[in-house]
Amino acid sequence: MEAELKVFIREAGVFLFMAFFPFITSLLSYCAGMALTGGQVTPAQWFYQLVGFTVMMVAFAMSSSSAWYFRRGMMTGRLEYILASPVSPLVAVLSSALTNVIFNIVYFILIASIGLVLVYGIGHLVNVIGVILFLAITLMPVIGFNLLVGIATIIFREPEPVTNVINSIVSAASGFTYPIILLPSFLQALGQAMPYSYIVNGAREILAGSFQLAQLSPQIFLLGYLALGLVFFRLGEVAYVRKSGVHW
Amino acid sequence: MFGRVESIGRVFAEMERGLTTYARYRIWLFSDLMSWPFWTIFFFLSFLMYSPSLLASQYHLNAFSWAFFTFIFVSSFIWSSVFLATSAQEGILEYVLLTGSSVRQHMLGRMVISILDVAVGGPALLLISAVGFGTRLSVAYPALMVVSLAVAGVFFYIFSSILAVLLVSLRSPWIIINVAQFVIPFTSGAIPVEALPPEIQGAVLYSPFFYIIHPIIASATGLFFIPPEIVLPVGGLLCLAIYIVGRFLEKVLLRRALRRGKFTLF
Repeated sequence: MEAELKVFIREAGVFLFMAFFPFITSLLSYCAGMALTGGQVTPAQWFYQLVGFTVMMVAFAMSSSSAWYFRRGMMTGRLEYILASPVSPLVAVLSSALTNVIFNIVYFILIASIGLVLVYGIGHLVNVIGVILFLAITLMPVIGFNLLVGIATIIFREPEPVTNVINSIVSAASGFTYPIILLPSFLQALGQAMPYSYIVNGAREILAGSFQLAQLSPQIFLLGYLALGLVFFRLGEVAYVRKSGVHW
Repeated sequence: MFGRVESIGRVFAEMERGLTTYARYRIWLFSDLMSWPFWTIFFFLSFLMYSPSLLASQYHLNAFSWAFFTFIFVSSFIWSSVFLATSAQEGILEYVLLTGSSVRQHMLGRMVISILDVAVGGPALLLISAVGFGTRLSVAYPALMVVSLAVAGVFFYIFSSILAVLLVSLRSPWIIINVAQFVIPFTSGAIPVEALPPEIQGAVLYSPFFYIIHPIIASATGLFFIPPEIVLPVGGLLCLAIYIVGRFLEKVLLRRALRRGKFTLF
């Protein structure tokens, strides 16, 4: 995890871009909304989209880093060196994923806090504590989801086309920047089968102070992604060892 | 005469390289075709979240379809700016320039991929808009649309070459491009200018990109904010201006590369 944190710190430019992206895109969309409605838009709607774009970036960062972790590790030989140490491949991969979770929680808190203060005032900042706990729980299924992304990267060899397809589906179906009800029913079902719609809606409700514990119940079903990711990781590892004679 | 033939040969060699690269990575085409429908839904609904009733307005659906088309257009072109940094990092750029080729010629190979991306992604997006959202797509002035797209193609080819020269020494040039691909089209005429509040309309006119992007949207909607006989020649002049800037920057880059031993303007 220390090694992964050092990689994050070295890529400060990426963090800077990630920090600006939700603000730029939500403000652009807000301006378009102003134009389309003749100024009948509220800062609360901007905050709705800011939170959505931030969770979207979290989703992108986690899926892309998972895909690139495998691809870059294989290309540079870094993965072999890591695996040559007496560490289980799963421990190395999960360490990277957990570092990612911590980084993304910090990232979300930073952006959401700025938005919260701007729209609702400093008094609402206390709600951020609840979001930290909520994200720590709800990003666990995402780790499993992204193990599947990593395995798909090994199968298709290129990380960008894999993440491009997955990110587009996740973005369209998860209701990041619009209510999921605007989607056709099959896309609504697809969105509800993935972890992100629960994350973005839960985070919004916690920040607004209207979260109910019952909303955590889908997490039990979504933890299936973690189990599925671990099973496929193990199957993929066995297949790779058989084919190449070495781990991943 | 021989120099001209040699130059044409290099241009064709670069184009062949672009086509070969595109053909080798078919997974990219598959990925684009798979992801465009979802991106289209995402963009449409993100903008129309503020006013879902506009999904019933054919004028807005048509205008927004073309707005997203320009986004694909601009995005496809300016992503090619990463190419020069990659080429320098891989050590290819030095060898290419030793052959007497220019940065613009070297960029041409990557531009072929951008043009193919627009040729596939653009119509795919319009088709998805028509099928998925029931948009009755229309182009009010087809001839002006062809001219506007040609001017925009030339402009963004040169602009991307300039951006590539400016970003050549960055380790993560994609950060800037990721932001630019949204900011450039959506602040410079992709959102139909007549729909903007008057104070924003005035500000948009100061963006040089407006004179390139607005004609595409206006040719489709039929509402030119500035008459086409003014906006299109201004677009042509801007192409000429950035061509001169591009040549100057390229010379500076090469001079510095010879002096310092590495490709950087800064």
